[in-house]
Amino acid sequence: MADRLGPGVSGTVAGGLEARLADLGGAIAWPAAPDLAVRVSHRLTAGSVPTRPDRGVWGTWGAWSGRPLRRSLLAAAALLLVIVAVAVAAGLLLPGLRIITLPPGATLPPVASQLPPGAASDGTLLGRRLGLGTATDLAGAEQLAGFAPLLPATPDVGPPDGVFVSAGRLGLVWRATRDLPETEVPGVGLVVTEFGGLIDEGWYEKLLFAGATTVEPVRVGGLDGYWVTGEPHALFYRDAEGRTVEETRRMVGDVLIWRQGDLTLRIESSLGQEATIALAETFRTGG
Amino acid sequence: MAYEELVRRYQDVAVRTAHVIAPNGDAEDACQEAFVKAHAALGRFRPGSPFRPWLLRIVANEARNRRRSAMRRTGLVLRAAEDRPSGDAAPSPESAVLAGESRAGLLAAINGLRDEDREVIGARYFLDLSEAEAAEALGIPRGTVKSRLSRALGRLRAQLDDGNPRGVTHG
Repeated sequence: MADRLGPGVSGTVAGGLEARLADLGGAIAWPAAPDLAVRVSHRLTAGSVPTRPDRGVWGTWGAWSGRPLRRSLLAAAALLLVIVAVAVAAGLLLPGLRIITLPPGATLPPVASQLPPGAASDGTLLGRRLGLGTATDLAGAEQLAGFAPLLPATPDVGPPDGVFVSAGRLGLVWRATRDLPETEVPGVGLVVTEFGGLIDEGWYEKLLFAGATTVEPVRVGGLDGYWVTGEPHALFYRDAEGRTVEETRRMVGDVLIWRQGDLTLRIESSLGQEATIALAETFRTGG
Repeated sequence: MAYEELVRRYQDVAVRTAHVIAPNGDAEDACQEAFVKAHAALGRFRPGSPFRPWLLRIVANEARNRRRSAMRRTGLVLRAAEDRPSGDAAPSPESAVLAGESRAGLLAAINGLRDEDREVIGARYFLDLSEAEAAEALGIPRGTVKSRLSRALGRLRAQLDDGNPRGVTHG
């Protein structure tokens, strides 16, 4: 039998039971699929559990959730998550990183490709257009993000032209120069994002909008990392309070992501893999 | 929100999966819950794995929970919308050969099978999942999909040969 059945299969077993089953699949009155996206989104945003006004099966679940057994199971599940996080840390994966491959066709908000006059020379404006958060400086970033930024220590890359913080996430932007070729966003040569958090505080995963997207495990100064090229992708991560945060900003170039100490770092550039890894290996506190 | 894209992309197959697993259950509710749980479980997703069967496994589990909660099997039927979809061409010679058993009869026979038989047949023929996808979605090894499907088809043939698909209701 073919791995995936289909109309062609019907033809090969003409008159057989399999052909009749394949035919039957198209004649079944399936329940109409409502647009669940909004409802699911609302639940995720609200963080609420109930699904419908009528209790239904969920009502039973809800009643059960208050029982000691349920609480014990929840505690066990929480413990399991910690174990998984530790196991991940011991393996090839970056702590908490998850990669998901999706069929092509999904869309993300477009990157800011149309910039106002003068933006290309204004790092702060560049960063604002990229949706990196609130503009600050390096000293302010350490206060707001709660950790000391790691910066590239190489003469080819000076201090960032823009520094931003959003929900504990640090964003650094460099204008395009001779040493930092322009990314998909005019005027932008390099974007670095840094996330805080310990391995037992959360996890991260990428949503790769498939097609030509590739993910290659790499080494960054002896640390595990991933080199992601191809189609744009979204980033999800879980914050220290257990909430899943979605970053819908498109990446502006090829991506290197790696873990260094308690931080996860991500570089977006057009430098190519070798040069990006070389740059990543220079990152240290204070640049 | 990118996750909404995911939900929209997979909600059709999710609802069908829930319906195959628990025809008498609330497929919509099962799917909504499954999508919420999948979102929370993204961190446990294996790198590089296809998303669809992983999601469908969560959907199947949710549907099974509702099937167990139903406490009774009445209404566990798959309804044929009509014996022949509108706009279908005139019966071909092949269709004429198949006419010995109507779709409704076949469907009734399937509904007379035990759950695991109906699930594996539904996964492969109605949801058009590959063996690997069916294995992931149903939470069983790939080899088990093969053997279970073979046995399920055998039992289905036996029922059809008996000409008595247990008289399960269908609409």
